[in-house]
Amino acid sequence: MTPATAFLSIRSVEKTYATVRAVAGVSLDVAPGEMVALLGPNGAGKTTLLRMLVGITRPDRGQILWEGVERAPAPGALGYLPEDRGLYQDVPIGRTLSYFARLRGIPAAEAQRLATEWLERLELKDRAGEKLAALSKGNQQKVQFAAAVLHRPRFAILDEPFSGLDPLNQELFLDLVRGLRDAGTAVLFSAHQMALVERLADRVFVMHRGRELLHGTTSALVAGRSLHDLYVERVRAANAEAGVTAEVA
Amino acid sequence: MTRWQQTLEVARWEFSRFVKWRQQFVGLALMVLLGVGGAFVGRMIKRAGDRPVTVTVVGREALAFPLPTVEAVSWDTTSALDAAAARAAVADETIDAALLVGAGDSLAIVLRRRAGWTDRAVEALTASHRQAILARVLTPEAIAALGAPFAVETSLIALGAAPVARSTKIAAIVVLSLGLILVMTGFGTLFAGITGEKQHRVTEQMLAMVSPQVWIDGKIIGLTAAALAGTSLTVGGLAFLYRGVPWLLGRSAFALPPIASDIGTLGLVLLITLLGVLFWFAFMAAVAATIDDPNSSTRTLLLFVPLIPMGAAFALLSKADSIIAQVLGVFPLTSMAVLPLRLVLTTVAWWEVPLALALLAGAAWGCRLLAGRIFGAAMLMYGKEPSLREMVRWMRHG
Repeated sequence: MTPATAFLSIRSVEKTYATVRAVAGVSLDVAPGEMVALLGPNGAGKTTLLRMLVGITRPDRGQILWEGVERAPAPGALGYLPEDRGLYQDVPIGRTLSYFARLRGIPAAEAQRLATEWLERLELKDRAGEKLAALSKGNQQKVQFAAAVLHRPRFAILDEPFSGLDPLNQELFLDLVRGLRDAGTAVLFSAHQMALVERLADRVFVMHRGRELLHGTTSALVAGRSLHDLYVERVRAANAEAGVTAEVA
Repeated sequence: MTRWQQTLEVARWEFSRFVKWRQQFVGLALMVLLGVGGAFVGRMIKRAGDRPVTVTVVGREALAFPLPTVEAVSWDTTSALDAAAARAAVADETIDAALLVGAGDSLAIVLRRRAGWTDRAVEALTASHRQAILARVLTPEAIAALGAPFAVETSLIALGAAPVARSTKIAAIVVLSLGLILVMTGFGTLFAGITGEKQHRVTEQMLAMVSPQVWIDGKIIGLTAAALAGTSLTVGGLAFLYRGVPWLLGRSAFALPPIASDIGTLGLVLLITLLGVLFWFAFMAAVAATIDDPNSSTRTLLLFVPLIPMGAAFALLSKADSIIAQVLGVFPLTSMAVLPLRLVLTTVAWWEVPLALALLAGAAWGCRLLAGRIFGAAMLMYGKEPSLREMVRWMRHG
């Protein structure tokens, strides 16, 4: 894949906070409609990388190219589910979803229709008038997911979409993410649930201490064993020998 | 979607988050109700104090001056009681009170409990006594001339303005107070909104859709509109009370000063106030974004910074023509409070208003840009508050 054909092309991106090198020269391409999992232990630099993609922070070095151009896509083209979850607590959820859609350039009537459609899909239609604070944690997470993607983005960045969910809701979210891909959305997501990643991702990119540790298609990487076992083995080895990278095509 | 469209969308959202029309009108109705109720209570209290009393005069023939007219007091000069009997009658509540006339025009008022009419009676008796003394030594014309004020006409040729009437000073205080209400109510919502968004972790989701500058601009516009809406309702309520209460009490409304119908000056006052509010809201948004926990942060004290120029303006009420007032009237940190005061109370030089407007607009624009830089970085900082050095670095480098 070349930067010209990739939807997103990350080139040698670096980011340092004070003395901590959070991301140290990462390169990655994501094709249109592709589903890429970003894995790594806590503190590996995944969230920092995702935040740079969204434009919340800027890289110190390197390039982030969207369809070959070093310029952030329009708000309507990008969907982002942050690791730091949070929405307006004191506003009815239907209004919040509609507002977020409008901020992404969707006309008011269409935004309202999309909000209703998503709440229906998440079985929350009857609660559209309720405030977020009145919902259970699982339902709040559903609303947060809808807020990130209801505008049908061309690229979705999901930071740990499965964390804090019970198995049933994990399955629901798995279907929702698959639905995004089926609609043509490229997805880059971080996760710690290796079994789900194995079922979902076309490709896997593992980070360790800000660097690429492992990268390849899921099927090629797994090759008869579980992703969980492979991940644990490689991360343990990397921990033992800091700075080692390996690439499996 | 353009930045401006996003800004307006944020502004609409912020406005609707904080302006609850139903609650606003309920608040307004309560204010009017309290005002009308207060007026009725005041009237009842006044009436209660004015309950007519009859004062029995003992020794009237010894009094060398006529008994004066006193509101709610009637003198009974027909009683045959002596001083001791009159005291006993007051004690028994057979009579309301007694005025005992002693030798050499000495007087004593006897009553059971303290009453409001006694001060008025003493004042009137003193005046009547003085009048009687003057009548003995002066002609009626001389007495009239003595009581008349000496006519001195004040004529301000340079400024071409009339002396400041009391009602104009009251109007200046009202203008200042409304400015203060506007800023402080807006500060409250701005502070609650931003610290709430930070605590509820809305920041990342928002910053993925809009730039920090768009976000803060939308907030400033939306919350300025919200504060204006709230203050307009307050003004509407006051206007109703101004017209309604005298009507309910059967009295005529007090005269409004000429400034009330001077649309040009009122427009300028509104424009300066609006620019000042934009300036202070930008400042407040930046401060609020740096606060991690509003319950413990010492930075909440910065909320009160705009009270300093407001306080200065109140202090300058009687010195609106001074050099310091002229300087503070164009200085952007104080012009929002001091220039409206000068516009109401005095005549300002032709260059003052355009200079003050230009400086204030420039300051508001600059403050908004710097606030946007602080806002973007500070809203993502959790667990600690940024130092002054960090904030200066953000302001310089974005």
